[in-house]
Amino acid sequence: MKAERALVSAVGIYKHYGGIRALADVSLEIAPAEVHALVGENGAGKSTLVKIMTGAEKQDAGQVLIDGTEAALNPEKARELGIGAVYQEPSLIPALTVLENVFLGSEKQVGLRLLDHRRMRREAAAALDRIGARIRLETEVASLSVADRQLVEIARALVLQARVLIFDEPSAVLSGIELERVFRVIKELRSHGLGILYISHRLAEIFELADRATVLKDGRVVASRPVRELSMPDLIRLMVGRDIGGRPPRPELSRAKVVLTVENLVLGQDREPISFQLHAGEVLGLAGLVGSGRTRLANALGGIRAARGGVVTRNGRPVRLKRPSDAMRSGIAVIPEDRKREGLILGHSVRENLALPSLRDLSAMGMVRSRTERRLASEAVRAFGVRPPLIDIASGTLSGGNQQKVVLGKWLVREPAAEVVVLDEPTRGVDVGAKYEIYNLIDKLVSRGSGVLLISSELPEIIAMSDRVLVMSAGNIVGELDRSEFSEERILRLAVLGREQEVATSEGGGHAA
Amino acid sequence: MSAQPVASRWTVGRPSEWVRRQARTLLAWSLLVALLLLTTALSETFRSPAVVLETFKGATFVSMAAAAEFFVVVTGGIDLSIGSVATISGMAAAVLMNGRDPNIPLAVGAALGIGLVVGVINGLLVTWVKITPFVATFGMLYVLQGLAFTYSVNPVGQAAPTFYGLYEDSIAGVPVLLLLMAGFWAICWYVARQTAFGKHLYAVGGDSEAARLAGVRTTRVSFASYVICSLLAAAAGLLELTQTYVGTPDLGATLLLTTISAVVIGGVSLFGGEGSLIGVLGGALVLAFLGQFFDSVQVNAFYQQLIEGLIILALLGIYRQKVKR
Repeated sequence: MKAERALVSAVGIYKHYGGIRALADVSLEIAPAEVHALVGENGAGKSTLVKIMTGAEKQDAGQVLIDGTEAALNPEKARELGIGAVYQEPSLIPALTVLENVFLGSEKQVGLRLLDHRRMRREAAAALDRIGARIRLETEVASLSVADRQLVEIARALVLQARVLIFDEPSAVLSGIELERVFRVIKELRSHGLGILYISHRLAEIFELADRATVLKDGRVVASRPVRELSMPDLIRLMVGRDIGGRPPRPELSRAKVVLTVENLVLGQDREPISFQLHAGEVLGLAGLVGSGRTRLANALGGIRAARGGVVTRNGRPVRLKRPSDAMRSGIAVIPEDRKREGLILGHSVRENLALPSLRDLSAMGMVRSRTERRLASEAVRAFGVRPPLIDIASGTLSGGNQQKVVLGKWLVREPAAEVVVLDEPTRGVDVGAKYEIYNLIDKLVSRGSGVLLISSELPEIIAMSDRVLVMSAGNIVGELDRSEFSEERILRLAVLGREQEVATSEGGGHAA
Repeated sequence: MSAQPVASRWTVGRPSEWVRRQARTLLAWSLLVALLLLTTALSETFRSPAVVLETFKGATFVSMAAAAEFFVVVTGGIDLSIGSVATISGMAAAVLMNGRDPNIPLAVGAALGIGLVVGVINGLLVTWVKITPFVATFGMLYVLQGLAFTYSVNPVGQAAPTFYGLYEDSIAGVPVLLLLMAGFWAICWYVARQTAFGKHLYAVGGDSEAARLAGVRTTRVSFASYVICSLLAAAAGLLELTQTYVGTPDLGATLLLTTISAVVIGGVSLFGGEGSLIGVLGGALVLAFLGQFFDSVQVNAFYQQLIEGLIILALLGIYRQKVKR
């Protein structure tokens, strides 16, 4: 594989932001017909490298070579030279159709600047066909799922004759079957000779997909090897620079006290009402595919989008959950999934974000005690290991994992602590190190007597962390499993096939991503 | 990015961090200082303290309206009806006072009442009927201006002696007007910076959905911002009466533009979530001194508009380039 000349190579790249080093002497090659995985903790410099390779940022030193010749890139030039990128949050325009998006900025024209609709339709259809996507060209992008949007973005790169495709953590936004589809597409593209740079935190998929892995740590390349020469523990050690062993089992806590009772909660039309209980000191896992209604349930409990009917009882008293402030008052903290849009005010400082839910508690006679506010923020930043540990910087400048820590922090520093904590994909987009910190935090929460509802698409996480698991499918709870019954297969079968079918077919299902 | 962990126990920002966050406010005030130096150098009249004092007094009214607008703009909204609220409140007060002291409480109550009612209507239009702030308050501007002109196209009513006396009176050598202004700004600053409500205003402007999920009653906060804005605008209209003696129906348009200018020069983001009242005060004073300066050197008033426009564009250019958060 190394015999062939690299399509794109970065050579000795350096990049600083202010006084902070983002990349130092980083080199990386993308060869044709190869899937090259780029791994590393949050803040290791992966995104910076991608931005430099797509021309979105300029390096301080070093070169980007395309077909062996140096190129001064800007985004337009990179596209012309055949470098396409598929971002986590696709950069499509929701109000335009699939066709319009695919050709946005590269519209085909005939004669007097008229759009060549026939040609565009033909080429777009061919591109979508090539990746096996069944999406109508007239569909508005707004109505597509995240997975379909990623496919449209891939198609966009293909009509531009991309030879290199960069995938920026697709698994952070896709799960299960959707991710499988993207994997199939990636393998297909590889077989057509494209070079793929695949960025991910999830190590399992690197072993499934990649030919070569480059590990970044603190802005430096610590290893770049063929994947077959690597083992999972190797990779983890390289990424974090330490061994993370198995987690010790959580001590059994008394689960006598019910902290939350949900009865006949109706989440939408044609949905079966949902009922369950959550105990103090318990982690209740909530598994299911994307779109199975897990987030909808979390939103209902958090008053983010009120349920259509049903009763939620806390400590024997029914509570009204019409808006987020109701949930807060009832001791329910819901930590939303989409932290960029829902969790943080990115332009405001870490301190302001951390204090926002607690302002009333921090006030004395109408005045917010700013010293207490600063202390609270400093403590949270330290307790949650936010890097860099500064409270006055805009939260938008933090990396994804560190943003997530601030989101968690803002709910978990509140006094008195919430008795019910709903975590919606708390480790999505978070690196291995931060993940373990978040797990420790969950342990701390339950040992303090809170009940935790943990929503996650990562089955190993659900299995490792939960005392009990509810499986949702198509908006309904289709199964409840106890610790002794946990297995990835069992959960996935329920999630994919629903209740009745699980009994009928004992084989089938897929495997976890 | 891998930053080195900071060793200090308190992870408080460095001084440079403070300067960066306050950059816009500092810029507005530097502009004011530069303007003062320039005017005293160029204009004879400007060297007399009396003129400077007079300028400060004259700025009371505009700066109050600018503070009013601040409360809405910081939430990401805008209130275009601010000038017409001030106009109609001032007219109503002048008519009701009718030059007689005993009528003052009634007139003041009515003027503030008008502000309250308009604010409530604006707030409902924006948060309940869900009309875009720009359009809702634009409509309100026309309604109120129409009302004002229907009532009279000429100045009406007359301020009562004790009331307009406020303009000249002083306590222990300090003009009452300046005392009022100091108290007013202190209260506004306290509300915006030191209370949970104030921080909620910023949060709603920064990201309304994130604020809502953090338990902020966002509709209530924006509603309140419109009520405060109109109420303060009415108070500004009332205070202007101490200077004009009569209720003038054609005050609104210029006031609106000056107000928005002051807010923008003061460094408040029109997208909300950012900016400081101290900056707005700086912006209002810049405009006041600029006006006074042009008057004193007897330059055509239209040049003033031109210069104002250039200052706004230049400042926005700088904000955009240098002091993004």
